[in-house]
This record gives sequence, structure tokens and C-alpha cells, in this order.
Amino acid sequence: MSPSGLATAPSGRFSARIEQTVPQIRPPVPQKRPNTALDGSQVSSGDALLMTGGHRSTKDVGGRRVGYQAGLKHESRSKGFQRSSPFCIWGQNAASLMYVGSIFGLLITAGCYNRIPLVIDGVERRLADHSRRGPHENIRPGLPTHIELGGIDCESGGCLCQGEPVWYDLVPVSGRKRVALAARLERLDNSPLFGRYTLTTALEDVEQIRYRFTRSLFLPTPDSMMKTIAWPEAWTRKLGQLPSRIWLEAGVRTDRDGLPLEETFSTALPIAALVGDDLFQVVIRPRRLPNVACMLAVHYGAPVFAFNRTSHARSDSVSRAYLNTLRVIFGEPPLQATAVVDAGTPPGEIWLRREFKRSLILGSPYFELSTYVIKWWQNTSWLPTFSRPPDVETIVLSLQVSQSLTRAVGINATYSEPTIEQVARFRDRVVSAVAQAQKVVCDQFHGKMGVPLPAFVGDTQPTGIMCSIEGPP
Amino acid sequence: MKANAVRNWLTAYFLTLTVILGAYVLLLSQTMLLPISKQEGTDAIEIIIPVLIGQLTIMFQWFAAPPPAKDTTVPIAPWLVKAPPILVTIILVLAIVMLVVGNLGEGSAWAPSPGVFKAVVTFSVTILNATTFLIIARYFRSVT
Repeated sequence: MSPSGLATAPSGRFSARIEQTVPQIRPPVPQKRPNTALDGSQVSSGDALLMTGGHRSTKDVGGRRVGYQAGLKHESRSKGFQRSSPFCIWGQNAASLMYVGSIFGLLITAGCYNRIPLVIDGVERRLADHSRRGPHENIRPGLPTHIELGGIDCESGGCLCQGEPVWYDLVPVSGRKRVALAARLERLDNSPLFGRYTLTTALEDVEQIRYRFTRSLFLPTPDSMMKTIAWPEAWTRKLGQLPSRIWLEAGVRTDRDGLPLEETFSTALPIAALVGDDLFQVVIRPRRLPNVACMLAVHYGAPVFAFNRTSHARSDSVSRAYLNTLRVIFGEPPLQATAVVDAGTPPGEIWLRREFKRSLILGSPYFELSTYVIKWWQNTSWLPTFSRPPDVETIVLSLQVSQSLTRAVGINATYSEPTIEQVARFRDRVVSAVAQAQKVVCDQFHGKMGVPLPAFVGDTQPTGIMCSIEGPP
Repeated sequence: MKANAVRNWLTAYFLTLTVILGAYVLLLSQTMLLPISKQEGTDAIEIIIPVLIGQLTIMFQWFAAPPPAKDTTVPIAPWLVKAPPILVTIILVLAIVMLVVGNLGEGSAWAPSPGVFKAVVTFSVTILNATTFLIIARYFRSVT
């Protein structure tokens, strides 16, 4: 048995959870603190945990403030009011109460429109999408033996370089919501494959098909917990102890038929955790970063040409023409970058730079320091020409364009990272330049634009538009 | 130079400088007319505006309730009153012009950086602090 309490199935590739004596989700216990959550289906309470006490504390504070202010008011006006009954005092301050009440109502309304996103909501949404379900209901992969907690893709995790980065927080759930959450979690205990997505690998720049699945993991002892999951130190400090059970969404690479090809991805998305008798759910919070733009932005990465029954000489000729055209187009406005000559460029790459020049994309008064790395490869280029398999009739030329960008207001100012919007403007221009060069060369060699990838390429999912060039051999 | 003339001149100068400089930096930073970032513009404002607003407060406090004193002649040479503010204005205008021209087209190596611009602003305030502010303290003293 693995440290995670999982057993490996005879196949050796997949594993299935073995039923064992495990801590169960107990019925709701009496509240230690009053639960005054206002949101019907969302975070319920948690004054000790970040941000989740907004509704409750506002209500509590508001409630105390009403009585306190009313008492002070009457005391300053007349001693007679001090001897009045509380009902009299409240009755004569109806206007004040209505005023406070209306403010409180507005706060409630605002709170309802600012629901904290829950991880479980996203998981259930993906699980309910049957169009992305795995075709085989009986395939139930297991969790890996060591798990890092985090998003398994940018859709569920929020990546630093793509979209809004997020972080995860634990929020206690109690009362009736605890029962409801426990029921929802039981349904996620051992799901089939669902939520098909693709992930582009950094090394090969190949898109892989992945499926998600949910599991709960029992961690009877702190030792097994520590060996199995990289539990965030901040959560340990907050909770004071380690969880005994945790619900996770994990991802596994599959082929097009949904058959797993590898061991489960080591990163898993936490959904909820049972800590002692308390049940916690994981919420998503945006990361407040000052100026996230990523120094190296990958603007483009996709196959651009497919050579069908074409000789290597011809495909190399097209490739050269394409790269030359790219150089020309990148050298023209608005990118206007020239070849890097002060550094050795690795084979298979073109480096272009625009240094301390006015940025034609961002406009005045911005100056930019940009380096574009254009990397290309053929799907058989890792083999010497003489040893390429003779039966492969199609060669695919792929391209990746990355940019390192800093910009400044004024030529001699400090060059710093751009904003996300500014990076997006460069991305649009780069994608446009790549497509323009592709169109020119495709026309020049009488190719056909918009052709899908041939089947032999396997799991790759092209994101761009391909130009197909047929023979002659 | 009469005392009232000194007061009027200094008040007009500081009012004009504060309003024009403040509006220029606030409205035109991060444009070709002031190629520094918004943050650097705010930094420059934080250096100079509180000092200038302080002087304006002293002046308008005096004009709001002027003492019934006669308009005496000031035993100070006029250039001692006018030269520092005028020189400071020239420095500031020169810095802004160099900033704008130096960043025209593909930019010039001699263009002052935003850091240099902020240093010029600080320098200007320091000059006023060492010269004109002492005169202000004397001729707007009755109220303060």
C-alpha cells in the first residue's frame, strides 16, 4: 500500500482506493461561535479565517452599534430616556433604526453580489458537463503517492502568466451547510474521468489531452499526511493541526480515447478537508500582485506548415522562406526588431531585439526593450536526415514566439514589466505577424491554408491555422 | 518697493506657479508633453505642492484679514524678491522642455530621466525655501 493509503491495481498503472476504517464526517456539532452567514449557498462563517467573516462581522458590529448608538443618544438628550424601557427607546428611534437597517441591507445586497468562489462549485460544474466526460466510466485512476496542492490547469487554478492568478484558502463550514457540503463531497469521492482539457508542455510545446477526476484521501496519521501531501505551512498555522481526510481534483494524461497514458499528475486541486471534527472547504481568492505581466511571454506556439509527400529539400526550402519572411515582417513596423548580434543564437532559433526605441505598439511616450525568440522545429528534425523513417510522408513545421519585454515612460527612465493589457497588445501583433508571413509563404509555394493536422501527429491539438503544401517529392 | 507690491507680486507668483505646475504634472504626465510615468508625476507633486500650498495659505490668510498698517517701503532690493522665483521658474521650464524634446522621435541620450526631473523639483523647492520663504515670513507676519 502506498503512503497515501492507496493500493496499486494489478495493472501497475492505475490504482483504486481500498475501503478501510476511516474517519467519517460527523453530524453537525453545536456551534462554538454564532453562525450568522447571510449567503444562502456560499461561505457560511469563519471569523478566524481570512475575509470570510465579512458578512457576519458586519452584522454583529452593526447590531452592537445600533444599541450602543441608541443608548448614547438618549442619554445625552434627557435622563428620562434612561429610565424608559428599551422598547420605548427603540420605538422612538425608529428612524435611526430604519436608517441603520437600510445601510445594513445594502451591505447584505453587496455581499450577495460578492460571493467568494468555491473550488467545489467549479468542480461540480465541470463534472456536470457531459460533453467533456471520459468515454469509459469504469476507468478510475488513483492519486499519486506524493501530491502538491494547486491548480492543475489555468481553468481551475489561475496561472500567473495567463489570466488572473489566484490562491486558495480554507474556510470552515458548519451547521446545515456542513451537512449539505458533506453530501456534495460524498458524490465526489470516486468520480470517473471528466472535464477533458488540454495542456501544452513547456519542453515539446505539444498539447496533451488530460482528464480530471476527484478522490478523497484518508490520512489517518500526521506522518502519513506529511509523506503524502505537501500541506501548506500557512494552513497548518491557521488550523493548528493536520487534516485527516482531504478531497482533491487531479488530472491524468490520456490518449484521444480517454485511456490514461501516464501516472496521475502530481499536482492536485484541493476541494475540502476534514480537520479534527471540523469540515473546511477551499475558496479561491485573487492574488493581488502589483503588475503581473511575466518577463517572458509566449505569444504563439503551434504548427504552421504541413508538408505532405514532400521532399526534405522542399520542406527545408519552405521553412527557410518562412523564417526569412518572418525576419522581414518582424523588422517592419510596428514590431520593428532587428537581429541580435551580440549573443550567440542557438540553432533552430532566431533572436530579434528592439532596444530602447520608441514603442510603436504602446505608442508615445513609451519606449521598449524587447527581445523576441522565434523557435522552430520539424516533427522529425531531431533525427538526422539519413535516418528519418522513409514511411513518414508528412512533416510538420512548428513555431513558437516568445518575448521578453520591459518598457519605460521616457527613454532614460527605468524599464519595468508591462501590464497584462500591454502584453496582450504585443501578443496580437506577434500573432498577426506570424499569420501574415505564413500566408505569404503559403501562397508563394501554392499551399492551402486552414488544413487540419494529419492523424499521425497523435495527441497534438493545433491551435493555429496550418498551411498544407503537397509534393513534389 | 512698497510692502503691498511685494505681497501682491509674491502671491500672484505662487498662485500661478502652484496652479500651472500642479495641473501640468497631474494632467499631462505619461504623455508626450511630460514623458514621466503617473507614479513619478505623483512623486514630483508630493515634493513641491505641499510646500507651495503652505505658502499660499500664509498669503491668503494675510489678505483675508489684513492689519490696518500703512503701506511702508520695504528696505529690500527688488531683485532679492523677484530673482529667486524667476530663476526657479526658468529651471523648472528648462527641465520640462529638455524632458519633452529629449524624448521626441527615437529619443536622445541626453534626455533627463524622471529621477533627474524629481531632483530638479526638489532643488527648486530648496532654493525657494532658502530665499523667498524668508521674505514671505516677514511680510505676511502680522497674521501668522
